[in-house]
Amino acid sequence: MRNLDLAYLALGAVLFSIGSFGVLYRRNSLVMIMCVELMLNAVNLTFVSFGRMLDDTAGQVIVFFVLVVAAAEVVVGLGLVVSVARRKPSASADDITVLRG
Amino acid sequence: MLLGVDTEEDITVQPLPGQGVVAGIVAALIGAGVLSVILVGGDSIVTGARSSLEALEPGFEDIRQIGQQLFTNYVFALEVTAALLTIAVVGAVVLSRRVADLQPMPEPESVDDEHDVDAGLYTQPVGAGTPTTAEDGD
Repeated sequence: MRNLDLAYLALGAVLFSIGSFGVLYRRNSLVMIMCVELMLNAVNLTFVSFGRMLDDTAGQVIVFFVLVVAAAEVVVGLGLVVSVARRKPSASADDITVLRG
Repeated sequence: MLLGVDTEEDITVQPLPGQGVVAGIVAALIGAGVLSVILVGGDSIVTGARSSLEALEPGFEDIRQIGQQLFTNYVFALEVTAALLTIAVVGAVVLSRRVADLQPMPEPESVDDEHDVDAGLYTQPVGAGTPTTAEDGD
């Protein structure tokens, strides 16, 4: 049982590092948002597994708030991506440099 | 369109040279750091007291406990997230609204124009005098 809990923590770490690599490397804004979601869900997995280890429901309650914040972030982020892609539909994060003053 | 599968982009040209290497190193450092803590530490990384009031017992009603926690101890955070969602909806509406007299963005010389949208799709000249109809977007 302990090894299984540690395996969940390790999976969370691996998912978080994959997500951070995607945010740092990819140039597509939509894929970057997906990778941020991957990082958030890796943290969710870590919260839940720590809550299981300590027999505490707070780990699962926090996941609600993280999910709500992720939903708000996706709503605003997708709005920004769509409004940028309306003007320049090449879907690259480099296009946002036209926002420079 | 949003995923960029229809654009012919030369992926061999890196706008930031060495970005991939740095990104790989940083991501590998993050992953290896946390993984080494887990592997070396083992059980001793889980610190803190085990819960006595909110214990998760097998067979005990889990959902009921979480619901009670949400509406007693965490009710302020719950209301704040409700406000956050409302703000996000307002932001999405504002961002996706199609303004009637939207002018194309003046672009710097360095930006290539080959992917530009036809400006007539979204723009109406200012003072063209079309009376605002249902396509106003509001």
